[in-house]
Amino acid sequence: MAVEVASLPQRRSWLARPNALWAFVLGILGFCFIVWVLGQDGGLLNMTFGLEINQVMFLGYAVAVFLFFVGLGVFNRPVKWLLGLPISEEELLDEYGAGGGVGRYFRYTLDHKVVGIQYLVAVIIFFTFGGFLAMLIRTELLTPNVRLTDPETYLTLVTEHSVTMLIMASSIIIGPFGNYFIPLFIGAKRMAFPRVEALSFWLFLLALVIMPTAFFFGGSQTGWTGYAPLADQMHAGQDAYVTTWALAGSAATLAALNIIATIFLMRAPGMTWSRFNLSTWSILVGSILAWLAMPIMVAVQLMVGFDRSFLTGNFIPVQGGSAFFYENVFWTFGHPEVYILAIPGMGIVLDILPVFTRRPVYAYRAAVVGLCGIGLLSWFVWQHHLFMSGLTPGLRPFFMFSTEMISFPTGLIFLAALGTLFGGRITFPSAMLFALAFFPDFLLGGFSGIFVSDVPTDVQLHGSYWVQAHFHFILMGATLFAFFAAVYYWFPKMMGKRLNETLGKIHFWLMWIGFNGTFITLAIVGIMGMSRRYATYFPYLQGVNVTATMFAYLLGISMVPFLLNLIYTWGWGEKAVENPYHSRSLEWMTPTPVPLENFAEIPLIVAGPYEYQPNARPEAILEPSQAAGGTVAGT
Amino acid sequence: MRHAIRIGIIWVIVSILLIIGIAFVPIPAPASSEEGEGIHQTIYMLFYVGAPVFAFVWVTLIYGLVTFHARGPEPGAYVPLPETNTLLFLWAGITFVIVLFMAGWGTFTLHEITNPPAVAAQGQGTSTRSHPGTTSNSHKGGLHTGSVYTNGHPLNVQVIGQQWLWTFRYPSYGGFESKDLVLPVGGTVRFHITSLDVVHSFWIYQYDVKEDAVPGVENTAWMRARETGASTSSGKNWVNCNELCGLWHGYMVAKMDITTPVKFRAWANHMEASERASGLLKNLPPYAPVYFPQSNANFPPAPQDQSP
Repeated sequence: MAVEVASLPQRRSWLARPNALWAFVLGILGFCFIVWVLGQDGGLLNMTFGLEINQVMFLGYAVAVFLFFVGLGVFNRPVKWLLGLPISEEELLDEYGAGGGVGRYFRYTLDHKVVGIQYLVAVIIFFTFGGFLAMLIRTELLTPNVRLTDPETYLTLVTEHSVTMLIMASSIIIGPFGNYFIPLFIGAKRMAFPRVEALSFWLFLLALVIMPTAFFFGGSQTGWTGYAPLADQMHAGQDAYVTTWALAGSAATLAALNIIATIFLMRAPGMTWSRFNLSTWSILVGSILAWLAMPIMVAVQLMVGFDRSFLTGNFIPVQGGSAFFYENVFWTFGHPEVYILAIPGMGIVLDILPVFTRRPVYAYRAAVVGLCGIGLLSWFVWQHHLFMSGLTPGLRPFFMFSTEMISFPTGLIFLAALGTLFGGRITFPSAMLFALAFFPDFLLGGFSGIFVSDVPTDVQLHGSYWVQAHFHFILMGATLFAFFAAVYYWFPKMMGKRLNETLGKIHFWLMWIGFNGTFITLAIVGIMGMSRRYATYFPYLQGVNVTATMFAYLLGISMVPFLLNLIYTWGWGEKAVENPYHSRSLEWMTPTPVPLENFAEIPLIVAGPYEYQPNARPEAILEPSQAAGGTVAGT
Repeated sequence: MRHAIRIGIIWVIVSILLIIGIAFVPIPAPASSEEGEGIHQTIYMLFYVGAPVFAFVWVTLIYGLVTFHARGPEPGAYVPLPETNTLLFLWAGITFVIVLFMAGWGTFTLHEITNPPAVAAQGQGTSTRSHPGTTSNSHKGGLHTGSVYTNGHPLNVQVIGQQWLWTFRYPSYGGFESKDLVLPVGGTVRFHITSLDVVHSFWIYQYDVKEDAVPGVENTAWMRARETGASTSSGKNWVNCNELCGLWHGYMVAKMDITTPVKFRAWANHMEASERASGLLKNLPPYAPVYFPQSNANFPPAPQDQSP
C-alpha cells in the first residue's frame, strides 16, 4: 500500500485538532481547578465531600491524566467505534502521521517511527533536566554546611533527580530505539499494537511531567526508594511521586508488552531467533523484565497511595503494617529494574562493535546466553539491598552468592566484546568511542558492585557514596554511554543527517573524563565514610567533595557540545549517505527517511546480521516477489 | 599466540602496579574494633582479587584497540580470534572459580563476624530480629540483671532511632537513657536496635558497625572496641544515620566515647543515680525490645489525683 502524501486532503488547522497543546492546557487547568479551587480548605471537595489534601491530590492527578488524554484525542477512536461511526482510510492514515510534517510529533500518532523520535526528544529533555538537578546537588556539596539550599530542598532535589533519571533511563534504549528499530530489525511493517505503543509514550511523558509538580507541594524527601513509613509522613508532594511511578510503571509495562508481542509475532520469514541482532535480543530481555517487574512497582506505590489517602496502614507498624514489607516488595521490583536499564545497552554496544571492527560479533551464542542469564538472575538477588536491614539474616550467604553469580553471564558479554576486537579492522567514529567506553565503565560498576554484594564489606559500604558511585557506573557509565553510542550511530537513519564527528569526539572525551573523575572520586568519598543523601558532611571530606564537584561540572559541560551538535546537525547538517557505515543490518537496507510502512514488501531474511566477510550475501532479500527464483518458503 | 604472550606480560605488570596502588586507597586501617577485622580483610581481599581481573580487561581492550586499529587501505590482513568452545569454557570456568572463592570467603567471614567470640553460645546473630509481641531471645541472657560485661557477659545497649536523634538505653543499669554512646574499651557490646518511627540505620564508621533501625523490629549487632576515643570535630568516632529518614537525616548524629571500663562504670552509675534522683527513670517505659510510641501500653499510667 504505497502512500501518496500529496493525495491526502489538507485537513483542519492544527489548532482545531487534538494535540499536545490542548492536552497540556486541559490537564493543567483540570489539575489546578481540582486542587486549588475545589480542593482548597473550605472548598467544595473539602467541606461537602470531606476530602483531605492527599485525596484531593490523587483526584487532581487522576482528572488531569484523563483530561490530558481527552485533549490528546486518545478517546476519539474508541468513542467513534462505540457510536458506530465510520472511519475512513484517510483518517486511519492520518492517525499514523502519513501526512508528514512536524505536527505529527505533537499528536497521538501511531507510527512507531514517530513514537521513537518522540521518546528520543523527551529522553534528551529530561536527561538535561535531571542533569541540571545533579549540578545543583553537587554545588550544594561544595561546602560542608548547607549554603545553597535547605535540607528540605536538598532532599527534594535528590528525589527529583533520581526519579527523573530512573524513569527516563528505564526507557532510554527501549523507548527511542526499541520503538523505532525493532520493526526494522525484524522486518515488520509496524508494531503489534500501535495504539499501546503511542499510549506508552504519552504515559511516560506525563509521569515525568508530574514528578516536578512535587516542588509546588512541599517536595518529596524520600529519595527514589521512597521507603514507606517515611513516605507515609511526607508532604502532599509525595503524591506526585506515587502518581509518577504508577504512570511510569504502566507506561513501561505497556511498551514492553508491545515490543514482546512484536518480536514474537511480527518477524519476517527467515528471521529465526539466531538471526536476531543483539539489540533485538537485549531489548527483548529488557522488555520481559519490564513487563514482569514494573507492575510490582505500580502495585506497591498504589499501596503507599492507599496508606496516604485511605489510611490503610500497609506499611505503618503501629497499624499492623511492616516496614520490611515495603522494602522487600520494592526491591523485588528494584533489582530487575536495574537490568531493565542496563541490558538493552549491552545489546546496543555489542551491535555497534562489529560494524566498526568489520568482523562478526565473537561468540554470538554466548552473548545471547549472557543477556538472558543476567535477566534470569536479576530476579534472585533483591535482598542484597537489605543485608543490613535485619531481614532473614540466614539467607544472606545465598543472596551474596546469587549476586556475585551475575558476573558469570556478564563475563560472557565481555568475552563477546573483547573477542570481537581481535582480528578486526577497527575505526573510531564517535559511536564506536561511546560503545567502547561502555566496557571499562561497566567493569568499574561490576567491580564496585562486588564490594557491596559481599556481606562483610557491605557493612561498611552500604548506604555510603560507594553505593552511589556503583550504580552511577552502571546506570550512567553503561546505559548512558550506550545511549549516546546509539544516538551517534543511528542518527543518520532517524534524521537523515550525520552528527558532526568533531563535536562528537569533544563530547565523548569531556563526558568520559568528567564521568570517571566524578564517580571514582565519589567511590573514595564513600569508602572514607560519607553517607548518601546528606546535605552536610564533616569538614575533613570537603577536599574530595570539591574534586568530585569539579569533575561533575565537567560532566555537565560535556552536554553542551552534544546539544549544540544536535541543533547544528538538525538545522544545517549535510544529508547523510545511505548506510554510511556499510552495516549489514536490516534497518540500513530501507530507504532514508524510512517510508510509512518501512518495507515495500515483507523482506525475506537469508543470513545473519554480522557476516562481515568479503562476498557475503546481504542479510535480506527486500522484494522477494521480484527476486529471481525467490521462494518465500525456503531460506 | 604472539598476542596472548604480549597481553600476558603487560597484564602481569599492570596487575602488580595496581596491587601496589591499593595501599593508597583510604581505608581506615587497621580496624579499631574486633568485628571490623574481618570486614577490613575482606575489603583488601576483594581489591587484590579484583585488581588482576580489572587489569586483564583493560589490557586486553587497549591492546586490541591499538593492534587492530585500521591502518592502510587493504582489509583482511588479520586472523580473527578462533571461536572455540575451549576459550568459552576457560573463560566461564575462571569466572566461576573467582565467584566461588569470593562468595566462600564472604560467607566464612560473615559467619566469623556474626557472633562475638565470648558469647557465641547464646546464638545471637548480628542481625537477628523478633516481631513485635514475641519474646526476644536477648531477654534471657541476663539482660536486666548481672554486672556489665565483666563475667563474660556482653554489655547490652539498646539503640533507639527516632526522627532525628539517637537514644541509648543501658538496661543493666536500671534502663537509664543517654544521648551519648559511652562504651568500655575491650568489652563485648551487644546493640539492640529499634526505631520509633521510620527506618534508620545505626552506623559507627570507625568501629565497623551498621544495622538498620526498623520500627517494630529488634535488630542486634555487636562490637568490641580495641582503642579508646571520643568524638572529634574532625569527624572521628560519631554515630551516624545511614538510611534516609527525612528532613534532618544528615544531622542525625550522636557523640560517642570509648573509655576505660572503670571510667565507663563510674559514668553509668552516675547517670543511673542522677536519672533516678530526678524521677526520670521511673517515668520511662519499661524496657522492651520494641516500642510503639502511639500505643498506650508502654506509657506510664496517667497521673492520679492526689488525695489531700
